[in-house]
Amino acid sequence: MSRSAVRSDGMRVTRVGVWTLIFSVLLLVAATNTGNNGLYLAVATIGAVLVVSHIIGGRNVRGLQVAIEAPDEIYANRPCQLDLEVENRGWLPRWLLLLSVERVDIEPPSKSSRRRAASFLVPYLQARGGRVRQTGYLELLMRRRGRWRIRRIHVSSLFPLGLFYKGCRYPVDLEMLVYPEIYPASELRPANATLAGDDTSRQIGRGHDLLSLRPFRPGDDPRAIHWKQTARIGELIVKEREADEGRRLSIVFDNAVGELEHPADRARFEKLISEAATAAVDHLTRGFQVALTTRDDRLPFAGGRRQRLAILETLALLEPRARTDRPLTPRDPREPHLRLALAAGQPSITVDKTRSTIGGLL
Amino acid sequence: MNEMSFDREKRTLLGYLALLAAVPLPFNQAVQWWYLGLFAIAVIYFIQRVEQGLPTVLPMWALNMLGLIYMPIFLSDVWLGIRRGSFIEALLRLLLFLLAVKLWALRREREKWHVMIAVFFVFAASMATSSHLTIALYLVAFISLAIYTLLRFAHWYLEAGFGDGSKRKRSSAPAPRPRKVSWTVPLTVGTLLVLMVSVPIFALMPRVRDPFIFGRGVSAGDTLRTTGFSDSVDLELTTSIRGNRQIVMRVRYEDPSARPAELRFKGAAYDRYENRRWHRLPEAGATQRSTDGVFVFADDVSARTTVEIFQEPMASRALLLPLETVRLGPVPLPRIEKDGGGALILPMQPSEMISFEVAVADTAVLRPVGFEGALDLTGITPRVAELATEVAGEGSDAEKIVAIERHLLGEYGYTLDFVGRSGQQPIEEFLFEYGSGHCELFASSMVLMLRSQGIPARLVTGFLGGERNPLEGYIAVRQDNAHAWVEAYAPSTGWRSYDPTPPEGRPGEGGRDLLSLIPQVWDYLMFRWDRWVLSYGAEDQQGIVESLRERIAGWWSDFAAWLEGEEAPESPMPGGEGPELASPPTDRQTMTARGVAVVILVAMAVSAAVALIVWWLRRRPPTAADGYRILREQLRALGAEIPTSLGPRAVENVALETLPSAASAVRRLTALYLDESFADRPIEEAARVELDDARRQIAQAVREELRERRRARRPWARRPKPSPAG
Repeated sequence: MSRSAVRSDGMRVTRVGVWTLIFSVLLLVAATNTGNNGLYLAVATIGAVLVVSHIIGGRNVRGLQVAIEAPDEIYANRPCQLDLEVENRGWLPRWLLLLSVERVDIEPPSKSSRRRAASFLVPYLQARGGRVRQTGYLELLMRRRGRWRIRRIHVSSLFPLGLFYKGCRYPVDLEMLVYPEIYPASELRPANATLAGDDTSRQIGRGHDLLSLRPFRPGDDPRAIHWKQTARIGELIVKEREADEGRRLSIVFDNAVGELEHPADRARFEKLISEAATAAVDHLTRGFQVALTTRDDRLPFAGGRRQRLAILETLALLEPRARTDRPLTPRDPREPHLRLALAAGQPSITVDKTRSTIGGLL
Repeated sequence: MNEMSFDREKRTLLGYLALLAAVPLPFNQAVQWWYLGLFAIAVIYFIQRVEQGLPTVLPMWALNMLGLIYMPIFLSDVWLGIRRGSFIEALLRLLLFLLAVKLWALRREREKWHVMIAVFFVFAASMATSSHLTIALYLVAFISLAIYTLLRFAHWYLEAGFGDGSKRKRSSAPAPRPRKVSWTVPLTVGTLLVLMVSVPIFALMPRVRDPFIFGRGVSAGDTLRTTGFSDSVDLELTTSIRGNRQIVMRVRYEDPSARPAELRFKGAAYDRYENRRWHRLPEAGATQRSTDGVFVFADDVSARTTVEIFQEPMASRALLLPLETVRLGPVPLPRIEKDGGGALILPMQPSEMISFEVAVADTAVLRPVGFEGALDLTGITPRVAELATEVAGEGSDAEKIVAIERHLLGEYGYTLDFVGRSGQQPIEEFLFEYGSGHCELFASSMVLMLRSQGIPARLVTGFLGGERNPLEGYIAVRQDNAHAWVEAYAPSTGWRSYDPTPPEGRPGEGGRDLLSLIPQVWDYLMFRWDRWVLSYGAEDQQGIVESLRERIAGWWSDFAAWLEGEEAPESPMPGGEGPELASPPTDRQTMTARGVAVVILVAMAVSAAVALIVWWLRRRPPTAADGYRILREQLRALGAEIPTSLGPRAVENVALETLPSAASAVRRLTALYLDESFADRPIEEAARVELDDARRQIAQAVREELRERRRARRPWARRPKPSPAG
């Protein structure tokens, strides 16, 4: 970061500072009126306190190196912690540094009564030769999914005497992708539906989840022997795994909803996206292979973290499209799929159990 | 209720601050000791309870009771104030009462600032009513504690979560313990800086009135009880003040080499001795000042040097001047009276230190103006006259004077032990019975003996000698230097001073050992404090500015002359002659000015060189990332849209479109950037040359492109001629 990019944020006189200034002026009037050098001495000292406070406070927030790093996954309406590192590159120690992200430094702008979105206090930072680095975190809460950007970190200080707020803006230009809000799975799934799909959908295969245990038969793969159960029962027991391909979910999200001018419509659209994301995350967590179909993109069936991130990214950036009569079909209509759309302005979630049910989703 | 965060710590600090703020008040007699004692008990008990974790908030009924109890005390204070014509004490007592009560009524966060405001007023009152040097120590202590308090308040404020700029309500959960931070450095540095910065602020603040000093005098609020300069004095002057180390005056010779070997300051001259007391006749005359406020005592004597005198207030109108004083002033006095012996009398008794400048000659000038009273035979007993006749012998008056002086010097001893003496006839007892005494007895005996021989003589009181302060260079004259001597007239010599007191009895110059250095240092500080703090005013500001201006002008002319290889121009001589004239700069002064100029230039050159070296050492060679970043900025400057999310390959494409003439350079730069940043291959020396070359080419292409666009915007501009090949 070039030093010239660091901008001074000027000075703000605190309430204590204002009162100190007022009393200094009053004292100066009294001193001038009486010619009392004792009063002049008191005024001079308070004036010096103000001057020194102003100069030291300004020096205190300059000459730093600030770095910020976002976590891998950030979800809307879920607090996230941005890793923060501040380094003192000056020859003097620093005190009472308040590192913060201000609302105005975040894009897109959000309505909030709070000027600062998050802050972190560094009470003391040694000068060169000492422990010049301090790590911490800024806890942020993004209200919406999508692309967010933090332009700068604001370093302010009340040091030394709390009379002035001195600040500097350190550019960081951090871009973050905020995934849609994930609802607690229990909101979508009945509490008793712990297993996905009905029994008929469960087939023996080479998946990860355990289907059943049975006695060993000739021809069985010896790697499938469950040694603990074998030892406990006294005969060879093998594990039967569930076939992954039997646990699939296709999410069809029709974003051809037209222009959503009314905030309530927009909120419904967002809620629908969150529900799609929740369903995807929930099923991927339980070993499903999930595909996503939108008007913009088609993600084939896959599982694991990579697929989760791909789906979340697609949903995070999903925007309403113009309405069309062309139906949106899943990649494989025979697979069970979850269709999400705004029908007559209302969120509509339909489940197609062509081949199997989407167990426990709704 | 919004209770205070870090409650205990804040209360403790506020308690200590309140306690310290009020300390100087009884010393300054602004409030009585017993009242401060009550205040201190209330505050100390408060601090003790806070430190023990006991509740310190008084209930409302108790506060009301305290208010009711204090009401009659306040009314009586007001009544006393009306009678005395001053309400300061009543106000200060009310302020201390309110401060103590507020401490015991601290409930909410913001109320701590109410206490701070009250402390601030007590601090201002303490400063305003003080004149002693020790108030400087109080100032340092108070500033340190105030800075520490504000530092901690700022820290606690942030730790309690107030500093994030939100207006949210603080949670009711107790605040966490503050993290340990060492405050020694900011406290020490902050205090020192504040004190350093406060000096120029104090010096530059506008003064529109004469300095007002509360309880002024000897920097301690007292007037010196000096005896020996009123219209009548007894013979106990010396015994009463000998050994008193209080300073009466400070004298600074502009040219120390012109200082006479024996310093005598004339205070008063006495004519009649009656009933063991000396009396002065009414004023013999007055010296009128000239239009410029200067009093001239001898027109025909040229001055040798000037002397600056700072005379402390005494219970007397005497103006103490060196015997060699030729002229005085300018001083803002309409007239100065003279007694018969030529000693000067002020129109009124000064209530504060007065300072003035006198010009002195080589010889004594302040001599008696006539003979009236100098031959008064009152008090001369036959035995004294008989002794005088015997001692004086035959000869001229001058010889008789010397004979009597020598007799007293040789035959009598000096003592301050008067135990057993009746004191009815002190001079006779001294001359005929005990043979020893102090300076006044010696001088009085000589005056009476001379008068018995028909020789005009007077007793003179004043000060002899003084102690040179090695730090400031002035001579401190103390009460201990009080002395009495004789002025006698002989036709052949005129009026002259004679001192019959043996040398061992005369006031000395003071010790020069290490032990005497301590009071000298203290006196130096007191003098400085008095001169540059308490008495500092608009005239001093003007003087400083003028002196600074003259000094800078002098330095500049010296410097200019030095640059031209000439001798420094001599300072213009103001008209007239005398010691007050500025002497032309000596070779040494010129050399000093040159030396200063050279030192400044060398210092500036060294600083610049050091800064250059530091910059060079800290400078790092440009990396490929730097080049890539600059390329993005250059493309933006050319109007290309380069969002942050655009990757290097996409940037390269944009650059190739925008700057086709530098295509190869762009490719080289992006390749180096990708190698450096993503393939972990740092730039080698050979690649650095390649990088520099690419950057240069790109910069050249950008310049050309910009120039072309400017031309395109100005169609009337002359286009370059197409080359024949084109």
